[in-house]
Amino acid sequence: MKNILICDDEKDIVEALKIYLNRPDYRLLSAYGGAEAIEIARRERLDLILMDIMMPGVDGLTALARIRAESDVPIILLTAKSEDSDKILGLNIGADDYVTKPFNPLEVAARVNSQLRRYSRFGAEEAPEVFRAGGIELDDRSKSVTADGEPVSLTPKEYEILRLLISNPGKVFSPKEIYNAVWKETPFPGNDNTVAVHVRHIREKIEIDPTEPRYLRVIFGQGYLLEGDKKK
Amino acid sequence: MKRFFRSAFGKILLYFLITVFTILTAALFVGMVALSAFDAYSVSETDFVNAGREEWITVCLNRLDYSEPDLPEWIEYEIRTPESLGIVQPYTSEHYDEWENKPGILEFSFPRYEYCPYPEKGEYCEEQFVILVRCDLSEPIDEIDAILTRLLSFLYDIRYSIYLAALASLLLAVLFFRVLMCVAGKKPGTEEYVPGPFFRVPFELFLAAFCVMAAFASEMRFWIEPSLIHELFFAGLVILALFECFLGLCASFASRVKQKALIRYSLIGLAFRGLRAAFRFLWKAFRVIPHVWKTALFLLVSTVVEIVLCFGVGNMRDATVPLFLLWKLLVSAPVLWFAYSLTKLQKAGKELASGRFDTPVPVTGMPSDCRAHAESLNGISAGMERAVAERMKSERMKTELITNVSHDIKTPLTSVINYAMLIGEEPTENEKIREYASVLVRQSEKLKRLTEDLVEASKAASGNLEVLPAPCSASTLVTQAAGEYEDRFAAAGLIPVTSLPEEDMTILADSRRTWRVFDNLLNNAVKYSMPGTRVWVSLTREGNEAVFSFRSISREPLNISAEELTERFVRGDSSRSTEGNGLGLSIAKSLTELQGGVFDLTVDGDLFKVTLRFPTVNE
Repeated sequence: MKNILICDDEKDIVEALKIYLNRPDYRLLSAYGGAEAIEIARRERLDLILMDIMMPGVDGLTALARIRAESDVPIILLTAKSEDSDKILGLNIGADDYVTKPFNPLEVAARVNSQLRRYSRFGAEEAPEVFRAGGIELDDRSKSVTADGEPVSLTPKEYEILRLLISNPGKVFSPKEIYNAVWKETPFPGNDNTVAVHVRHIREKIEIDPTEPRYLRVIFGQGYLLEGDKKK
Repeated sequence: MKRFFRSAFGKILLYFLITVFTILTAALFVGMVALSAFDAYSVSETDFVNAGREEWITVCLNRLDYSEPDLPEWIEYEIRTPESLGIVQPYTSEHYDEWENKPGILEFSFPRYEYCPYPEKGEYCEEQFVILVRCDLSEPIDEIDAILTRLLSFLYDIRYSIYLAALASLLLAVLFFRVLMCVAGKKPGTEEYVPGPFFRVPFELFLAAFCVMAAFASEMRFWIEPSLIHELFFAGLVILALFECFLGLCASFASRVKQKALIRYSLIGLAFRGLRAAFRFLWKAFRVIPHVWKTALFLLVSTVVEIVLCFGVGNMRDATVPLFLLWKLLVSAPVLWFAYSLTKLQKAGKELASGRFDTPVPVTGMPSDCRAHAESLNGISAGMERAVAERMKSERMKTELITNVSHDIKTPLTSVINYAMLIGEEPTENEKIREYASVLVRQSEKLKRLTEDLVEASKAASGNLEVLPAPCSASTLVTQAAGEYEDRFAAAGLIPVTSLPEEDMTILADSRRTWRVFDNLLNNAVKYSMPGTRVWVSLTREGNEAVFSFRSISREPLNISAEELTERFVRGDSSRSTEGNGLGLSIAKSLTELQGGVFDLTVDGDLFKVTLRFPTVNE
């Protein structure tokens, strides 16, 4: 049984999230302000907190800082602020992930799953053939890929591309480098967008929202990278 | 023809023809003079010829030395000495008397001062004596006479037509001269003027050289005198050479005038330009001198001029000079003070004009008129500063307002989306509920995008957006964008065509912002293009710029101007029936400009074209 705290001053939103996260192994707690959230976090053994930033009284960031001072529980921020500076601030204070409002409830559910799995597995030894980045797991022995726990079926070339990226998390690969490594030949000069199309397809398979990728990111004008794990 | 005369050979031919016809004209004029001098129109041919020959024979007789014993056979003579010598009997040659009534004999008499032909007297005659010569002219006396005879009889034959011939010859000479002037400075095959090798040598130098040569030649005539014929021949040659030089000079003159270079490449022009440059330099130097010094200089010069003038007129006594100078000094002080204040005002005005409003003019220590002006300047500067600050503040507040409102919209929107999805997932028999729920979801998604775009558009337009430029490969931008959109193009029935230059370019761009620009443009293409048409994305290099161009064919007629399309909330279709909120192009334009690029949109019929220009950088 996982204890999940949902904290938002909008009751409607809390209720909606409760509906989407309604699973037999989740016990859902709710709070409607920062102070309440801090109090629950002290009282209960929590496995995950979903926290809104803009709340009357003690706001989300303050609550986040207080809770983080006492616990390592994964915290996902829910925020209407979509500016980079707000995200960076939140992550620096100690958040593990963030979702911008208005959010897709399915995405929130996926992120919750991802954080819970990682939290429980944190620190465990793994075989060298298994690569993991965020919610993506690639097992080179069985040639299988899972995203947020869901199995994903990739074509051989897509698998090769993902393997190249996941074995070097955080490194930017140009389309040409990817082509060289995966197709083992130089791309013919000019307008070859094979790699771009493949990467797009991979994104559609592993990302909840392919236009706002969390893992496989497009660095426009340079290449592609797979986000490394922030905790490692 | 034109081409021929412009060639080197044609020009030489022209020189030759002009020379020939000029000589001919000259000869014919001499002939005309001779004809009228010797009465060709009233006497017989023999008389005319003989009258002409007489001139030559006179020259020959004059050159003879009568003291020599062996004189030519065609001469008999008698020398009469003046009576004062005491010798009355004239000296007579052998057949002199016999020739008296012989036909074909001409008589000449001319006075001479020469030494006495009487050897026995052994002294010089100091008086004039007269030589009477009888010449037998039935045969030519020498070769020149023979030629002269033939020439004169020919001249007599053409004594009427000669005028026409002279005129024709003159006209031809003038005509060829004109042609030469026309082709001067031109080369075959082009209408441009081609400067010759000596084009830049000042014209006066040529003119001076010619004058020196002419003067030299006119002196030279007297050096040579082996015989008359030689002398004439040599003089002819010199005149000919001078004539050709003269023609060359004329051609050069014509060429220079036509190319408007007569003054430019002349000593006068050179001197004029030098003076002008010197004057300009002085003027410029005078202008950069600070006001105060200029005024002081002016006062000094005027004082000196006044003193000089006064002394020149002469009614100023030495004693008054110090007094005068003192007066001048007294006058100068306030003038200089005024000039100094003006300098300060000028400087302040310049600061203001260049947009620096934060340096007020010090108003103390100025004449009251200047001070009033300085205070006005300070007032303007303060007002401008305030206006700019207010403008900035209002712009910032606008952005803040939009951002805050959109935040406030987002929270209820989250609930709307979530519950709309929940409705859609509820098990129900009623298909309509499912359908209505999906409309709610779709429209609330659109509302969400609108709020996000609104924030971005207002930030981009006010420059309130962080831009992190990094070196990007321009070709990669295109291939990545094309790859991202390949499936969507296919779904919309569009054929994407990308073209890239052979050599890649590097530009400085913020990856995420640039993607937003490309995303908006390609999104537009997908939404508004006519199915079945091609969408062109091409990259070219133009000088130091990477130029991306997006071309597509609009589905609906674009009855709207390019300027309006980039305005916020304007869409190509006035009916607003399709999706989109009209912010895409505005955002793309602002983001491009924020990154130092140039966004250009043109609409040509149904062709919709956007070009982005980014300066390239060297890695």
